Amino acid sequence: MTREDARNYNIKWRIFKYYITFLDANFNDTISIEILTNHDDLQLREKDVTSLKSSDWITLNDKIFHLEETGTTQFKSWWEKKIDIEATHKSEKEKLFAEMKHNYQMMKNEFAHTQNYEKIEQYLKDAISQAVVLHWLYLPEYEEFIMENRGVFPDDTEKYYDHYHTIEDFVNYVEGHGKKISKLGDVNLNKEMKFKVYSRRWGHYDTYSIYRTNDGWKIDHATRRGKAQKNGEGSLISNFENDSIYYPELFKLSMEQLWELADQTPMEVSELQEYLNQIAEWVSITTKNVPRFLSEHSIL
Amino acid sequence: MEYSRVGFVTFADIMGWKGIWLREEPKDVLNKMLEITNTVSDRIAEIKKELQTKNLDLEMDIHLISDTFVITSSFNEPKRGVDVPLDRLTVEFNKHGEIIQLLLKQCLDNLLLIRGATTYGGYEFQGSTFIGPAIDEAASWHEKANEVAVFITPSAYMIVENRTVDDTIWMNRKPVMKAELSHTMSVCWKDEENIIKYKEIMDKNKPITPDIAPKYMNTLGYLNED
Repeated sequence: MTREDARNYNIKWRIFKYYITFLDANFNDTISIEILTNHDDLQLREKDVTSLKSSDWITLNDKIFHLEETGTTQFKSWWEKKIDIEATHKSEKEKLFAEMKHNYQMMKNEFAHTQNYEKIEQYLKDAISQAVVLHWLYLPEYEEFIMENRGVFPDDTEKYYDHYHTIEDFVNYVEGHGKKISKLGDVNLNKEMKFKVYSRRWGHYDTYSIYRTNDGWKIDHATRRGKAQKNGEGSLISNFENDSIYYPELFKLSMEQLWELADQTPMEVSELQEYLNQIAEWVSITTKNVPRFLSEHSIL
Repeated sequence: MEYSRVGFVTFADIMGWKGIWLREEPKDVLNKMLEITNTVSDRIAEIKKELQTKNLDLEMDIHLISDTFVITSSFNEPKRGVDVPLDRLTVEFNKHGEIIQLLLKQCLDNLLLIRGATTYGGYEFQGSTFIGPAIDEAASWHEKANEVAVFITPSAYMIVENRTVDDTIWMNRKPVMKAELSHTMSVCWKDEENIIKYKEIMDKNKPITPDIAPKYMNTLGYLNED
């Protein structure tokens, strides 16, 4: 399973959840893209509409999704599963969740202390039996990278929840600490900003164009351009290495934290630019202040 | 207190280190110690690679502080959601024991004898500075065996007592001790080759005077056990 497959799954799951808010769901209805509030999905739409279309589930026409016949079949099977589970277990939803949470906490306790794997195995087995029911009552949405690591989609509940981490995610989701879908940061997404940094190799400042993207940064510079992770690894760090730019130890952490902050708050581009300026100047000062003997002895 | 590493720690030192420079060329002894450390390090690297195929990311190191070998191990958290063996701890315990077995063997091959203790708990280290409860426990027990042996301390015993461990590596045997310890396990190291090597060392270290005789004879006792 690729990250893209997992993202497609989440989009379908979100559409499903949207539809079932209407109890007499009409499977031939159209749906506005506005329910997919996450910029990740909008980015996906721009980037790879073809992939989504070929997912044989939905078609995308401008800003409207249409459920197709095959998609409707899968959609209906989810719907039937939910109805079936609700009929038999709805009244015990809270009780079942409390039991699953208890099993999770006991596992956590075991991992932290005696690590008695026989007990862990039993708690996990019990938690799975609760999760396979609760999944259709809470309809949780998960991070794509977890699905990728598990190698199965969450609707394959027996296999998906056969792991301490997925039970932990479920508990976190119900308690409001799960996957965050924020579009607050969309105001500063894919906007051109500058990163002006001193290069020891060239003896002057260089100015990169930098964009915050849905999964990191994009760098545009005369010689090197491309994607960087949230912490700058990738095109930003490789530019530094190429141009003898020496960054402080906390640089990567700073870039990652800034990305998160910009994603979770309505940070204006001007404010984000100011923080990037501070980081760039910090890198420049570090680079300028490299001890002179290192260059005198051709070490750097 | 939170520690970035939680796992098994072994301290094992050379028996008869004091005055070894009178019996052997000091530089030769130092070279032997480094050679032993390097051989063990190579095996550690192989073990790490083997475990990576099971999605297990083991941190394991051997350090040498004067005449004391320090072996540390702990697992890094696996990637979220990736399948890993549930009983990682037994895997770590067995691999840790395998490394001690190799260390014992390497020492014997170089006519050196060691004794030590393995514990379990939290610890930190930077370079050759170690700190944490696991370090204190291993350091305070490692000279308590009165024979060639590496045994587990109470903290390690508590965590492995109900596990099915590899009995070619760990045995339910209490070495002759200078301190009372009702329950423990020790690393197995008896085989024909090691018995011959051990007797060769005893022979070389004659005279076996009363102050050192108990250690030699207790070890011989282990080697003669059925």
